[in-house]
Amino acid sequence: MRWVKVLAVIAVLFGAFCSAAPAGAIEQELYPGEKELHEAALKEGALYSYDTGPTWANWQGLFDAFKQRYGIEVTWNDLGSGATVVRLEKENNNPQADTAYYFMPFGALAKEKGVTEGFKPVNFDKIPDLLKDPEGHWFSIHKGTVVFVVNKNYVKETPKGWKDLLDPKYSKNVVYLDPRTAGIGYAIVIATSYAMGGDLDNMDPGIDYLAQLQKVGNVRMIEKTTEYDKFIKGEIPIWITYDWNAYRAKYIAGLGDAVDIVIPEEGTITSPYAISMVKGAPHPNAAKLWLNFIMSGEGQKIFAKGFVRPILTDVELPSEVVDKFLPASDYERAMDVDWVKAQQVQDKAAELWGSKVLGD
Amino acid sequence: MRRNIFLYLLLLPLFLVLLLFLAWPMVLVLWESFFVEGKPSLSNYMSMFTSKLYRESLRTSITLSLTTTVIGTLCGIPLSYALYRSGGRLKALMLSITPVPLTFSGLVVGFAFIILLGASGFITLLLSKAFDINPLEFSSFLFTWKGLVVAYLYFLIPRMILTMISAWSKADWSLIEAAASLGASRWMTLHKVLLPMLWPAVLAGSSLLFAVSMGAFGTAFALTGTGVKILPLVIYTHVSEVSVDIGRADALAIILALVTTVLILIYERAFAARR
Repeated sequence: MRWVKVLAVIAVLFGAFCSAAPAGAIEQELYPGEKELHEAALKEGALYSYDTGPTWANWQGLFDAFKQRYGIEVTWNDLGSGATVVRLEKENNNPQADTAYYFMPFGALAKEKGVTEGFKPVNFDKIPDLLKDPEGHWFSIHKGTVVFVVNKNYVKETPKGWKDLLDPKYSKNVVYLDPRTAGIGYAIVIATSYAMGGDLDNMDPGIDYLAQLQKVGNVRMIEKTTEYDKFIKGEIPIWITYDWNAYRAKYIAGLGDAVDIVIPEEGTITSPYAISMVKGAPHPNAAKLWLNFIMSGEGQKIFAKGFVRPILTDVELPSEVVDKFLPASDYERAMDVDWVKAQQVQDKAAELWGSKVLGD
Repeated sequence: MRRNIFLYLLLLPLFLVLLLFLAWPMVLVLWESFFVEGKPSLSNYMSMFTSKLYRESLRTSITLSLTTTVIGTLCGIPLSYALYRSGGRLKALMLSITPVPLTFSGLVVGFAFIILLGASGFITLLLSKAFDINPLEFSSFLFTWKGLVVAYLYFLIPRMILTMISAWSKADWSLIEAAASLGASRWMTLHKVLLPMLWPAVLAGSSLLFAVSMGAFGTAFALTGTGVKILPLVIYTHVSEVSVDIGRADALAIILALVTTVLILIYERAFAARR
């Protein structure tokens, strides 16, 4: 029997060796031309991906898989969508980035500033028309839905919707991100606007609602960077954020039954996140390889493993994830928005939020 | 003459570093603050007058910094004296520990206070066990400007101590003895002899605390997020994500630097006269 074990060990080691070997390790192409593109990308040897912070939307999982498949390390930064566009503009004469990822409205802005390159990755046709630029200057790669994440150690009665949050029993409970500094914060302004009877032309109802939430003293703080860690640490009773953060806290960080996830009864919105190839990218083939990988079934599945909704609806979700998502009937309350228009009014909305919610 | 040239050569690297990392960025910030969408304009500066949020943020920044400066100075002076008078190993140990808070990043300081005083913080839980208080309500002050006063003092008091300790060491104690032997009362000795000796260090130290408080960003960012109305956080909101407006951020940064400098100059002028 011993030789069986020895063989097994050898087989495992051999397997590990194969998967670790970088170049030429592609056995089966994910799409036609992958091998050729890979060889060209290997000659470039590097990839600079702007604004893909590893803890956001399971980017770390994509970095690891990309490195494993292609042997190319992804170099990233975490600037924030707006800052990314500003940076690309400043570097326009001497581009440093290969790809740039942002809250979708910023894709349109980046194109307008002339810092993007048209590129249609695999499965481009399957992305809904409203969620991509027709020439591929930007295209959405995943989505997130605005939900409440509730820590039941503090909250005895889980709120069902936006109006419930105004109840005095949630004094100093609610935390959300700043609409001036985060796409999710702006998504919350839009979500509350629709929920309170407004729309993109009239966001006053949403901003008035958030101002009232502030005024009754139910807002604990306005966050920017460390909210996930604070939630895990037990500092946040009710957190308004994207669903993947909620599932991650509940199932990956293991808070389990202590966490309730709520899709507000008055409705909410789903936000797409997009990526672009940068004009004059220093490693164009690596950039294409990366974008193709993200849009391949494999790449899309890695988002799903982190509970992030892939943009492709025909991707088979991993079974360990699929039964943990809230029922589809709940997700019916999450609507899509005209994001191109949303981009045009966001400066005004952010300023209005600053003056009405914080100003008084 | 030759010696002078040699000295200048020694100073050259420092000069270059200051030029490259202090003067040049300041020039760029100043330059860009006068542009709106590529056209020359003063409107970035005018926004300070039109925006209630900016005005309040400047006011809160000043209130916060004055509060921390006064408390930090009043705590730092006796502490530094006690440290100066202590001796042996204890003194050596304390002197090596005192600068440690200055080496931590704001993120660390912010989280340290959350771990102590946050909703599930050590002290909060202890207090809520002992008394009938609601941990959420109790800890909520931490995420306001008052919480920042507490957190800032953690790295301001050591600064005051370090500035003062050298003043105590350099003080000429024979003058105190002389005053006493000439029949001066304790109050008079303090007022006429000791304070004038220490005064330059007190001025320098408290000015430093004020400047650091006005400009501190990391601790506030980690601890309170962006909801507290202080100018460094408002500037940040204009360099990230939705409301990016670099010109506006530049103008606010210039205003912050100007206000801080002018207030310190007034303060030092007004009180230096006492000497």
